[in-house]
Amino acid sequence: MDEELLEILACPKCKGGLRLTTDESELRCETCRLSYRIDDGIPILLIEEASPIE
Amino acid sequence: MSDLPTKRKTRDLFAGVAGRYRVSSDHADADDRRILFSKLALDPSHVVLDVATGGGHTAAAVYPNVRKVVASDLTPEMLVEARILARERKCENMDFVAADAERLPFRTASFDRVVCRIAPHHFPDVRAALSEMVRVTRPGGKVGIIDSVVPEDPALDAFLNGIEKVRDPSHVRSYRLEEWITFLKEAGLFLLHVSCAWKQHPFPEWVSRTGRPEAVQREVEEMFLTAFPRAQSFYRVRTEGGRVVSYSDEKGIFVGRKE
Repeated sequence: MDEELLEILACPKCKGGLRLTTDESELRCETCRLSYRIDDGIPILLIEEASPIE
Repeated sequence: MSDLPTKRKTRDLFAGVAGRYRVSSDHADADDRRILFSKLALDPSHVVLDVATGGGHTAAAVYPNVRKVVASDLTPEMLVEARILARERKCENMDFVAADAERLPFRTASFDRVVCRIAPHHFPDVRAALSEMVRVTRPGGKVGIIDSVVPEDPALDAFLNGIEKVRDPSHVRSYRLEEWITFLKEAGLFLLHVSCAWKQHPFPEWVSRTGRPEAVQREVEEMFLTAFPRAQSFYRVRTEGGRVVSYSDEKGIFVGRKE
């Protein structure tokens, strides 16, 4: 994922930063404990599509 | 404020017809965009966000003038189409993010310019979307909006908004110019430019683009054919052999600066 993009992406819920998982399949918000999937290179940053981090 | 049923409708509708928006002549057409870009004073150093990019026309058009573009849309299938268009146009430094305009997933003050073209009439809460667009713009940065507007005359307003809702169940409202000016000021923008441009819509392409059944398309055509004379003349309804060939509406063009 583009580093400059990663720097400006935020959790749509709390607007805090997101962490890219090492396999680059998800972006995680540790504050909201939510995981946002990346589909074919497109981050799906929609709250209703996020899954809770176990 | 979230409005899930409307957003679900919007996503479902656009997921099914995404490709038509990439090839849409209404969305590719450039007169209003030329005015918008000139008033935005784009610079090769700029990072730009295109909100509700749809088929990606505005993102691809702004790209040659700036350093980087991020294209967002509520419907991931639309972003796939926008990415095809971007690749055709050799837009390399462009990223695609599925996002709700009312809950933008970007850090505050991330963009030099934010644009949103022919989309706000789909937003359940246009004020929330504008407030988010202003939030992600850097201080001194600019926000540029283009959307269909309706005239002050309540009957003409109700006529076009009524037709749009039949053709496109995800249509929320096309606003009057005065409503737009209030929204933009309330969102914290200093208005730099407000103008209107007429746009002609070729009827058969326009009415079929939203993928509605034949009977609904026919109903929309009937609404134009049987419209009261003031509406027929204001919206420049052109007919041939009893069929609608085209109609025209006005696009409002707005540019504001974040103070």
